[in-house]
Amino acid sequence: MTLGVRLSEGRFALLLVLPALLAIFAVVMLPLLYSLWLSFTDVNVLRTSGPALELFGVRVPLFRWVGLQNYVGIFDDPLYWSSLWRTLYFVGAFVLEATLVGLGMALILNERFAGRPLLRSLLLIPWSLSRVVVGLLWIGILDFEFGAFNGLLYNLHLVDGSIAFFKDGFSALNVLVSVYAWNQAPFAALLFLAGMQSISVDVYSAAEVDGAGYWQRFGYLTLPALRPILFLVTVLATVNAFLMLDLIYVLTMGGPAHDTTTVAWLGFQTAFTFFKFGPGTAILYTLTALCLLLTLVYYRLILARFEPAA
Amino acid sequence: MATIAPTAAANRDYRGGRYKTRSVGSGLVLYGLILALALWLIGPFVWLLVTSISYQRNLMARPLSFVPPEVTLDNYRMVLGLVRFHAEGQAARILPSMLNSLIVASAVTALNLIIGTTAGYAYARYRFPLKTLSLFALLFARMLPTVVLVPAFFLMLRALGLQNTLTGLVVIYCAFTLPFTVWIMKAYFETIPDELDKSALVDGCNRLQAYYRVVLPVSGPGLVAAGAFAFMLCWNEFIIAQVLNTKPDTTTLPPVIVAMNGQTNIDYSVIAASGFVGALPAVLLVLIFQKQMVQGLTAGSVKG
Amino acid sequence: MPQFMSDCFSEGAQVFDAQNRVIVDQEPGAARTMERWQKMYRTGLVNPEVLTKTSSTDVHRLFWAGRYAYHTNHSYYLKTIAGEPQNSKLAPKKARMAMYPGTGATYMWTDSYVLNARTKALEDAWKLTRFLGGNLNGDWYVQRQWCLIAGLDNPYPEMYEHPEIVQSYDRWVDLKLLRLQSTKGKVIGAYKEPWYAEYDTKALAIVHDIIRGGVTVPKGLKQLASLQKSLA
Repeated sequence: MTLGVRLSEGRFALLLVLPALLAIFAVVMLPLLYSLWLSFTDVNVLRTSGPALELFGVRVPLFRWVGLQNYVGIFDDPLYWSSLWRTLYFVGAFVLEATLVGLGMALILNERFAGRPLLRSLLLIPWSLSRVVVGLLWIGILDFEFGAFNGLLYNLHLVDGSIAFFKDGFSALNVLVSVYAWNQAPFAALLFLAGMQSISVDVYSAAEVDGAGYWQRFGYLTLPALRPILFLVTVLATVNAFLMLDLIYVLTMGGPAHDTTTVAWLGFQTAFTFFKFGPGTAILYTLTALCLLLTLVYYRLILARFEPAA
Repeated sequence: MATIAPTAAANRDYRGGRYKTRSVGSGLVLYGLILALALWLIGPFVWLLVTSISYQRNLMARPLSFVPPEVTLDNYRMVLGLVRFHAEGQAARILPSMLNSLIVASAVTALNLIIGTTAGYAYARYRFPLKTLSLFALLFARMLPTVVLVPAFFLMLRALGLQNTLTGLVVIYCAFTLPFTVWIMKAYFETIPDELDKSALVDGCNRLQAYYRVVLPVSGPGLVAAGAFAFMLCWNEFIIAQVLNTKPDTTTLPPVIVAMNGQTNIDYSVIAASGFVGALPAVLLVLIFQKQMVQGLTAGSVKG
Repeated sequence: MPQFMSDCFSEGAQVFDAQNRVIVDQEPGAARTMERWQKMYRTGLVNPEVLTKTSSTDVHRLFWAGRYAYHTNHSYYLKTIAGEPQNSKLAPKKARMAMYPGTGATYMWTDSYVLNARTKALEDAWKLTRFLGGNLNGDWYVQRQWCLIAGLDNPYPEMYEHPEIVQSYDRWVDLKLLRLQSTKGKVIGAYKEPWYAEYDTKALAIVHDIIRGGVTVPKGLKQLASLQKSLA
């Protein structure tokens, strides 16, 4: 009962959110600004002397300001542009595949059948795996020498030998799309499923009485009701696809040649393989800008449409 | 056919008349799809288990036998350091790094539950200045490309002397998990009627007491969902740990598993064993808490 | 890239000049290597994924998959492949590896321990370096352990005189042949400079392009040389 000072409601709430907001400010917003700064400098990670910012006794190096040089450099590089187009393909293909597979899974799981709770728990397995493990286990399935899928095709006499899934760059890129979709589509399915179950059963029963078939019900009832969720899933999948790195690291390292190099991978490589932090952060910042745009969309979406009226 | 038809018939009572009874044909299609879906979801993971208890020579045999002709625990013995082999140096890192993963993920989960939950409560219940703006910041933090921050983390942690420490990882992981936790908890608290808090206030609690004496005790499912999700994110994270904690024995499990894959002259079956060991804790966690996680996550994503 | 350099060296081609610059475009041996790889890739003599893998570990792994007409291996893997009965049906036998294509000269890779010019405790560091990589007090202790445990060779022939090594090597490799090989060795004076990491990654993409026929051999080799100039 005794809390010393009686706080106003707003102040009390601010006090509650403060630790979380401070943490996020210190570990997300500050580095974000610092990264932005880095993208305009000539970073040499080995050099610790030179201009620096003193903050609470901690010396954060600032490096030499080079203006737009890093950005000009990356926009001049044909590899950046080819990676960007490849990323757009990757994003498009992934969003399509993850959404359709997720919707399909949700439609199956929305039916009533024996063993449905079991199948619903299985849904979470691909999604709960670390992408490192996802990559490794798909190597075990797609490998040219010992892959199980190649073994299956051979056993069924569908191929003589094996299919080299990673030989051709386009095929490797599509493998990445599908493996990532295997990992992520279950989450989309969960969202769709939640949406489907909030649709009133009476509407369906009425439609059935009127003689509407399965696909008519899907087209005229389910799909329109799911439209906001469909939009949400697409936005989330788009962001995830733009940022995907770990599977590339495990499965292709951006190769063969640059055929699976996306913008995220190019930026990561520039920063941490070539140790060029300036151009690396510049490349990654172009991605951040895209994400900011998508966040705006997402924000409008969930706050405008889903905020409960009460 | 004969096995399908009775099931379809038995279904009639079970489905409680939501739709019309399925025809035998569509029942067949449905059960075909269910089988395919189950295989698609769990087949690859089961195959990882199978490869991890097989010898490489049987994986390479053509035609391939999907039931392992020989079962062995040799790969696990190698991974757990019970047998000497040429990559034992790398394999010896698996258990210590697993401990590191456990420490980091538990610390992050605990911090999330303390800080993130209170914030989620404030967002659910109160109006306060900067609410909309900070919500947007949270959302942005959640959609942000983590990798853009890694160069900055690298330099900042070095300046703080936190490079190659578990503390550094905990701090950074907190920032990425907090937005999710706040969001999930916010959505969860919104499902708890606020008459509960009000009656607590009437009964003489102050606002803080109303929160932790009355609301928090009935928020178990939400806490479980947020906590399990934060733990899973940390346990599975690879890129940041890989880049920031390069010194052996300071890193978490995923980079060590990737390094197993980078060993020359190592059998895939051994790598599979290390992958399976690494995957199991997160999979079990999610399966145990699936009900709460599904509710919490769908609510946290769909609702504002 | 290590595989590419290995093949070039065994063709008698120099990859680097005295100033550590990439000069593959002036070396007919490099062109022969690339043409051979193109052909291997086209005709399926190797695992179809091996020549376009990005990670050199994967390249090693796939190159000795053993199902194909063309197959390379590191001599030190012979210790496990040909020397240990639980790993290999060949075990009691000594391995006979074919010479590398090209001039027939074999080659060895050496990793070196390097001292920084501004090392503070110079005397101690030099002592440590000799302990790790040389014969401090006339004993090749660390190098001998490498040999015994992993079968990793050393460019100094006198190390092979030790009775322990003679006994161990006798189980899995023809020591006489190995000694003969070290006498044929030629030192290639290239070393890694800061540009190498970026060069390695980007050159690999060019090599992949050449192998897949996306660019002709002479053009691709020119690109490899000019890429280095742009980074150095």
